[in-house]
Amino acid sequence: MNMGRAHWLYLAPALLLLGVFLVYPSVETIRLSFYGPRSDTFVGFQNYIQAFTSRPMLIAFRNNLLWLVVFTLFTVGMGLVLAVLLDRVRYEAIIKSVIFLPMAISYVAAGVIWRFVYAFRPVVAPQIGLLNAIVVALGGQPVGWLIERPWINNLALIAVGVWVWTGFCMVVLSAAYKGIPKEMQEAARIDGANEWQVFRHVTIPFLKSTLAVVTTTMIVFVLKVFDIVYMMTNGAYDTDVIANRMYNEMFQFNNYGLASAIAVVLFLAIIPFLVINIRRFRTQEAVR
Amino acid sequence: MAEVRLNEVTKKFGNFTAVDRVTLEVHDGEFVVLVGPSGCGKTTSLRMVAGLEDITAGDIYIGERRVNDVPPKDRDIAMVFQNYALYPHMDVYNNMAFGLKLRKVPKKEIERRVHSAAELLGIKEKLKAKPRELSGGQRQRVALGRAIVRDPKVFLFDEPLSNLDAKLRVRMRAELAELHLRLKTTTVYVTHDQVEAMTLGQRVAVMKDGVVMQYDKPQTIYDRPANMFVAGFIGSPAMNFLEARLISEDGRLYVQGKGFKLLVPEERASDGLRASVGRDVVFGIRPEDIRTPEMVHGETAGRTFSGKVRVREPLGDEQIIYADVAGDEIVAKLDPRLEIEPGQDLTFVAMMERLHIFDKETERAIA
Repeated sequence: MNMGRAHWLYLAPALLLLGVFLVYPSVETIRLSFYGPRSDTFVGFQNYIQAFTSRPMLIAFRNNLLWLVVFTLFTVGMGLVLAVLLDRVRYEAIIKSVIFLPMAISYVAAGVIWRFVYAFRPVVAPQIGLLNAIVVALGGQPVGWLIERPWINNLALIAVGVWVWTGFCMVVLSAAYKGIPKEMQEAARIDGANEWQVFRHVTIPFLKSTLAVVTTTMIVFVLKVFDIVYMMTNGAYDTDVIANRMYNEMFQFNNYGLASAIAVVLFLAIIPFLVINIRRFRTQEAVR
Repeated sequence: MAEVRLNEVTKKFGNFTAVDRVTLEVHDGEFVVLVGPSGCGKTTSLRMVAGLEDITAGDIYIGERRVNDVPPKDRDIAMVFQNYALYPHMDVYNNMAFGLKLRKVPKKEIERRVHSAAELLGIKEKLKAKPRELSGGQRQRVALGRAIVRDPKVFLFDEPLSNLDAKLRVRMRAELAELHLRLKTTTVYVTHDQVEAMTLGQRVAVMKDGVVMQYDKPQTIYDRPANMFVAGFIGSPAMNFLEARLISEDGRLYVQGKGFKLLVPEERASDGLRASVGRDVVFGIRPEDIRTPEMVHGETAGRTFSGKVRVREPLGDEQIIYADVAGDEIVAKLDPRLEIEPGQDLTFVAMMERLHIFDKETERAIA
């Protein structure tokens, strides 16, 4: 048999599937992004101009940036702190299980839970939301957690994301942390390092590659964040994010052109982080 | 430099006593080896000196200072670990410089000390290499260098040679001895290897079940083991132990057991031994203190016994003979050129001036 042609035969099923379900939709999305709402008139870069200049989109960009910084910082940071501190706790396994638990809950369920936590009633009515009940019990005024723009409501949404994802970061970092030879930390202590210096000069460098993987994973997730916002505010009160914007343009306003343009923008924003992740993965494979 | 003193030091892990009232004094500049089987508490003792384990009871002094509650970083000690514990993300230079940087030693001084240590250890051209690029022996040298540059009061070694192959271990052993001769830093060295203990230690503490069984010069421990454990642990092959009874005939002392009756030489017939006449004892004789008549010049009367050879292990410079003496096994280290065959009946000569007698109950040495 001619091997020159045979390999195409073996590749055909994969190529076919990729072509139909990945390449074609991508190309089609890019094509549609240059057309009007009903995909019948060519509008050039009109959709892109709108995607980068319209007020709702600018708010969505700002919010995504806020998510990117705050969400990533808190999930990775708290995950790291918990991984290191819980290593010294007797009931480590139980506490870690509890912190990891939200990962097992769907965003819809998480959204429902947190809408109760954030629930807001006028001052005269009893507060059924957990947070406001606490605030009122302490003698404060109830807060519209999902209404107060632009910081409180956005941070309240980010907190939900952090609640869900911190456990994941903690578990991955904890596994890596336990891989650090104890003698190395002891050697550093004898060398004259205090606990912070051990953490800074021995622990962190050892966890570097794991930290990079966790961080890029969180960034890729946060750029695509949708469910939490969709469930809790659907973008109201200036809490919109790019993915939710795209969903609304597509399925609420039937503006296929603009929705496609937003999709392309989101796609381009994620690419660099995917590349970083893949590169890192490759170098790790190369080491093996 | 400083002396190290352990005073009634105890360490408990829950209900398990790992170290039991250990009292030990290491003189300024002395090289002391803690040796014993695994689980004897030697490493735990070392880690308590390092400050890596809390002390349940007792006191540890480094120099004049009681260090029970002093964290490791303030004890001015350096430790070398079994698996080297180098920092993998730092090159050799920075591995050695790390402790000095933390202590805010001036950069010029760090450079000088690291280079002179690297020179001393022969790793000068490796200063830019990462630990993973080094061989086991080189890694151990870096770990040593990391300890040396600090110029600490005390060196602590936790089985530093056990990850090296046999040949390298012998060489590093000699290098460690030489290093101590040059630096004269107080050293506590933990090992399970009796050869390391004998060759390196100016004094050796033999430990078992958290207790120091004997603490003395290596030759003294070999010549006059304090009890059966030490006698059996130091020396290879291990000392022969035979159940026996001390008897007195015509003013002469004999040690008599199944298949042998041997005369105790006059100079070894101490008062303590005479006081034990009639009691059950354990007669100990090292394999190297058993000969055959061909190997002995002079009188052999009262020193011979016979056995049946079971196994012969020729080692080139010696041969190890396992023989059956009235149902008990004895091991003898003999001249390799003697022609001995398994199954053969053989006459042995015990060098009775080197006999050991232990109390059967307490296992303590009587003579």
